[in-house]
Amino acid sequence: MRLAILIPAYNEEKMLARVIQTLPKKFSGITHQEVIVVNDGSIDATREIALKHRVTVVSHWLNRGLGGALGTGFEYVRRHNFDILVTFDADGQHHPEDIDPVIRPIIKKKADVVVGSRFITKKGNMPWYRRMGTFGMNIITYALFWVWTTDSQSGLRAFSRHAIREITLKSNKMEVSSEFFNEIQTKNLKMIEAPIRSIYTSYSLNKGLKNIEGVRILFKLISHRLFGK
Amino acid sequence: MHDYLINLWQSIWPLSPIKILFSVFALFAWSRAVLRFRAKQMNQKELAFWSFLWLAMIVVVLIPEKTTTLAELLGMERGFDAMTFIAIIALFYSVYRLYIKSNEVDQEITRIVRETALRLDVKKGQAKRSKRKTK
Repeated sequence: MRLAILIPAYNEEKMLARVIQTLPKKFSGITHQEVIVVNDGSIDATREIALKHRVTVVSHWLNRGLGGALGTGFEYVRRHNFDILVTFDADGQHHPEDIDPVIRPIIKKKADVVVGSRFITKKGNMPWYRRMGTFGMNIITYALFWVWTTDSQSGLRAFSRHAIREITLKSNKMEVSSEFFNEIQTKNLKMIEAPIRSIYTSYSLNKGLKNIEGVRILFKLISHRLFGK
Repeated sequence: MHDYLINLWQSIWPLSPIKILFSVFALFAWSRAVLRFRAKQMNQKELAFWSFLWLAMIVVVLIPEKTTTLAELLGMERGFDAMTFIAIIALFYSVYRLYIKSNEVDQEITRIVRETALRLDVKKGQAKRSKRKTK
């Protein structure tokens, strides 16, 4: 099976090299593995740093946001015939060992989408305000898309070939995290969750979703839901 | 004294200042449309639309009685009510259209950036080879 590990990166020169280097080189059941960095119009050395590693680098010449970068990754993966796609954050908040439990259900054909959830086990050091924000987004996701998830904002997710073909992303920015659930619901994809841990540093906290952003996202999501635009 | 001054002003100049201000503004806005048309940044249809809109506003401001006919058609008593009602609906609708339009433009830009990236900017990185020990 062919596995693509997709890393959307915007101004991640500090962490990107370490993230790429620590990715496992081999997974059981995977014959070919490719790491794809989508450089989303970074103005620092993200692109150059990525090119020093054995990865594929797709570069946007304008910053389009997380949703835009993920959409480009999905399109690349569709055009290059992969069986499994894993999205992995570039800010170093994921444990590389958590990739395996996320792709395992896909290899075993038990699910189309696996969401790595930071809330299934209680280990981890997510700050309380971040926990509250994510919980709020979970409720909004449920209210709008009728899919319950314990971690609607997770960056570590795996997709089967079927899901890769079906999912089309419209959001450009952070609301893409919730848009996935809209796709899961409307395209009738089978989703399960797998426990992952997160590493919170002041660096990754600054990079992630701020609670105030949630309000803007809420408006966007409601508009998507009501008007389909 | 106060009433006398107001009466005097109204007999010399029958238009209230707000009407004058608004008419001047509407003429200014209309002139912008004409300039844009001359610069060929606007087509005839658009010019006709904006001319109608701004000139109609001047008519409404100068002869407000005219709007009463419209109000009666809509089942309202005063012309002013009808104007406010129509204006609010029109504003809401145009904000909604603009919002949709800007979202669409945003998505178009992403599509262009994506297609350019996938066609022209896919590079394979090469890991530095560790220096091979010879002999």
